[in-house]
Amino acid sequence: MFFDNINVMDMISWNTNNKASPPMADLNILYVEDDPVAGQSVTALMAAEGDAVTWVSDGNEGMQVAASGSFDVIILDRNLPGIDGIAIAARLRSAGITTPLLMLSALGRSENRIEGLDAGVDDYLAKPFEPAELVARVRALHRRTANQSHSPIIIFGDMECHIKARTVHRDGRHIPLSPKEFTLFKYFIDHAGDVVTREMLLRDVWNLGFDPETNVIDVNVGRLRRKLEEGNETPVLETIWGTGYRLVKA
Amino acid sequence: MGHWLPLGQSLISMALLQPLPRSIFWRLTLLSALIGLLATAMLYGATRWVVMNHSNATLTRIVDTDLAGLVDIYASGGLPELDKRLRDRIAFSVKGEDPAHYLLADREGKVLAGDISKWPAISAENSQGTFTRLFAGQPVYARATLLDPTHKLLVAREYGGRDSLIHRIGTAFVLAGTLVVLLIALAGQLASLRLRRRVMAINTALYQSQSDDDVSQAPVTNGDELDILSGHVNRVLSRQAALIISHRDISDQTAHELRTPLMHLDMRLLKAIERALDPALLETLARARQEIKKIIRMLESLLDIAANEAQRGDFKRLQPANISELAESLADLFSDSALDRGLILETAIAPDVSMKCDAMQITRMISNLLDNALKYVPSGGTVRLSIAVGPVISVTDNGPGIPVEIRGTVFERFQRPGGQSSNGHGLGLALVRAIAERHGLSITCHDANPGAAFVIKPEGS
Repeated sequence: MFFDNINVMDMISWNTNNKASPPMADLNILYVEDDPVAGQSVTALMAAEGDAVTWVSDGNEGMQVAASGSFDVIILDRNLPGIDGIAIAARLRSAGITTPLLMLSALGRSENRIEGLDAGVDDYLAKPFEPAELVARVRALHRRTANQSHSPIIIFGDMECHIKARTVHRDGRHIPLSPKEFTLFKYFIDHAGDVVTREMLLRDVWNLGFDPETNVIDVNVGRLRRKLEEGNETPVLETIWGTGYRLVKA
Repeated sequence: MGHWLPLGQSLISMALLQPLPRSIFWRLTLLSALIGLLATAMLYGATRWVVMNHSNATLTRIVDTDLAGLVDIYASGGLPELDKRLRDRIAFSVKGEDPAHYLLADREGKVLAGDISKWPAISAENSQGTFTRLFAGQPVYARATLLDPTHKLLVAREYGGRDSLIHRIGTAFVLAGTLVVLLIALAGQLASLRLRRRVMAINTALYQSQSDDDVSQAPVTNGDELDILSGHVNRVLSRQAALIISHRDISDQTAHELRTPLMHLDMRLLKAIERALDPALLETLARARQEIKKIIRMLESLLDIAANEAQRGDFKRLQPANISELAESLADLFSDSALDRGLILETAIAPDVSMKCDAMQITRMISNLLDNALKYVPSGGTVRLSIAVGPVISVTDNGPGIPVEIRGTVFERFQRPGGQSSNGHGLGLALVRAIAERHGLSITCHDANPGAAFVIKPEGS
């Protein structure tokens, strides 16, 4: 388990504002949550990231606010008074509202996640959560909808990724990657500058809905990092301890 | 390649679609028709026996009466009168009556009168009566007697009428028998169809309880044995549905009620961490957060085990999945971690092995076995993941192996192959077994000489 082998002193930060270049912030977020402890904490967390949070504690009210306002991302609790998060998601989707939805729930088993995704939720995070993980997921969700470029070449810093040819160059030098390594790199460059969590990699790159006990993600990312940094020592793949990784400009 | 299905599941789904080759109702109809045929044959036999006996008794009585009459004529009128009467009788034949034949002979068998050319092998001294054939070949009943020491008389009568009657009765029985068998088959088929529909309705209710979320009910009509069965089925199905809902609710409530306070605790710890300055205190707080995460993992594993155990034999929502591809992807994910530990991860994966499953759970099952092997096999060892048609999924290593005395309990909850001191919550293998059994598979642990072999294959294979 990854928490066993990290320096505990690195786990203490509330915010993730140690970024080289915060790519996107100042999001307009709706948070529907009846638990005051979670409500206050998340509002404070996202505000510290520079986002504006509208916190609503009732399901029906949340539904109305979600339908009327224009938000970049909606964070939904699952068990809510009035109308539950699953029903809100389903109703918003059937009403044609496509705002990215993140469900933040105390039900975390894969069965519960599938129910959420079936109802139209875009991402599902179980409580308790790492603050940095929530921030990363919200950023990734917003980026996914806001920035869907399909250009054949993605350039980030000194890195170049040719989507069709499935090749990667750094500083003009070709970096030979296996098909799986390319998929992993492509995911990083799609989320360039943002924190990518282990759970996001497990889910989106390896299609796993659980975290194996073996430190598989660290090892696979480590191998990609060695390839990217071989012959060019400037680090491009940062480890955000306790949370995940971030591709940065050299 | 066809998707592997548990036997029970495939039989039921087949029965819902088409008649079974070994339907009990088809056999019942066939049996009824056979019994009808046999009963008709026995009735024919009995009738034939009665008719035969009656005809024979009549025949012997007629012959005996005729013979007695002729003996009287001889006694009163002597040979000339007897000869005259014999000629009369031979010349006179009643239409529709079986013809009679006569023979008057001397002691040596020389023919004196009558229409039989030669004395047959019948003893006149004993007044013998018997069924025989005359020299012209016609079958007769004949009786002979001594008239006086030098003359003997034979009276014979054909019985073609009897045989023709028996023949007519036989024909009538063949016709009636065919009709009876056809009627029984028809009635049997109609009754079978009705019964089959009712039995299949019960089967459908049971089958749908496996594939739908709604509880379907077996029909109850007029209160016979099948209705009692339907009633029992309905009660069991309702109880099962209630248990599933209650299990899900309890699982969700347990998760919710534990995760929420743990999240509050975690958030308080984070706030404390923000304000703490003492490095020792910071470390303690961070360790406390790790303990929370361990509790959550254990809770999730326990709930997953319970969910899989509750869904055992329930093939709802299972989809065909290519487990070869899934295993290849896992092997690719784990191979570098194995190398990091000085282990070699080998694969022997047959292409395109597929089964109806919850693909994520099967992935988790294999992943847990790989976790386990990577944890317990010392550096320099080899771990082998193999997938074969069946499906047979196995993870084998050449590590220290599992001691014989704990092989039976290694899949129990909170059992750690490496003892209490080892990492992990001791639920990994329990979850592996729960997932296997939820898919109709069984898992066993063997000695790989050296090392451990975990083999998962269809139950009963």
